[in-house]
Amino acid sequence: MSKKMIVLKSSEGVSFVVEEAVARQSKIISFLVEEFPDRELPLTNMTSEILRKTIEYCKKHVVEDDGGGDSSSSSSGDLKEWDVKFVAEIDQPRLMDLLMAANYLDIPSLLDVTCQKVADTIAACNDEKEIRATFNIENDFTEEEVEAIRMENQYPI
Amino acid sequence: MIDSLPLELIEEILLKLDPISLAMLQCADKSINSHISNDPYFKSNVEGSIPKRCGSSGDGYEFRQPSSSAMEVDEKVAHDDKCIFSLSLIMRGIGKISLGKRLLVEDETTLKRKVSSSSSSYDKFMNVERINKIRRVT
Repeated sequence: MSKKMIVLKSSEGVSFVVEEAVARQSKIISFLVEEFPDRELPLTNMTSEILRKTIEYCKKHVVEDDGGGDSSSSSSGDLKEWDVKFVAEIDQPRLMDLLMAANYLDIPSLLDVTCQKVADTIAACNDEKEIRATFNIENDFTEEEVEAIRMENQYPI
Repeated sequence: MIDSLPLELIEEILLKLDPISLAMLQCADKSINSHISNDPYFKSNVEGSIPKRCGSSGDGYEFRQPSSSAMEVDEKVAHDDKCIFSLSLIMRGIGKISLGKRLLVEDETTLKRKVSSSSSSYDKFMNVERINKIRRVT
């Protein structure tokens, strides 16, 4: 029996043919598939690149029901390792896009992984200047204001 | 970039951070700083939050997670009896654990009287009210 496929279309109009089980990890797509069966689903706010990444993640995380009950395609330890590698390869701007995509498509595990990566990146910084540089944040504080926050926080630098 | 994320996503990230990183982030960006230090919902969700200088700036209050046990709260009071807001924490703790919501609300009324009769500023009082409002809703 062939698996049911659905078509997702990126903002550039590129079509991605995906197994339904893979795409259904997104609660939004799951809902749309039921509402509009046999229709192409346009994801106008997602670029092909981000959509491809999202599908890659979903493919890895799909739980296959192959008759013998649910069995994930990989063991959970392997999956965690894979996740770490997956987000490590993505640069900062694309990580943000992927985070937004996970939020938009409602894929909780991907959202968790991407948020964790951002948190880890912040935690790896040594001071607020490094955070600003890493995340391209414009400094809207005066030196006195920063000092005041530090004083209040007992924050040693 | 990070500051252009929707609020709920920023919060999702903040909740994964340790206190030191939170404190660093406070110094990095104004909008994130105001979220960390002024959003009562966020504050009430971050256990222990960022260590504050208690008492020295007149700003010595901290919020604990709603789930903290009565024992923890007691311990905290022993260390920190200057903070009037510890009172509310005990009340909240007792109310949550044994007496239920109705008494909790009554306790809060008592607290309000105490707070308004004390030297605490109106702003802080308002803050408590906002937190309570959110707690009741959730």
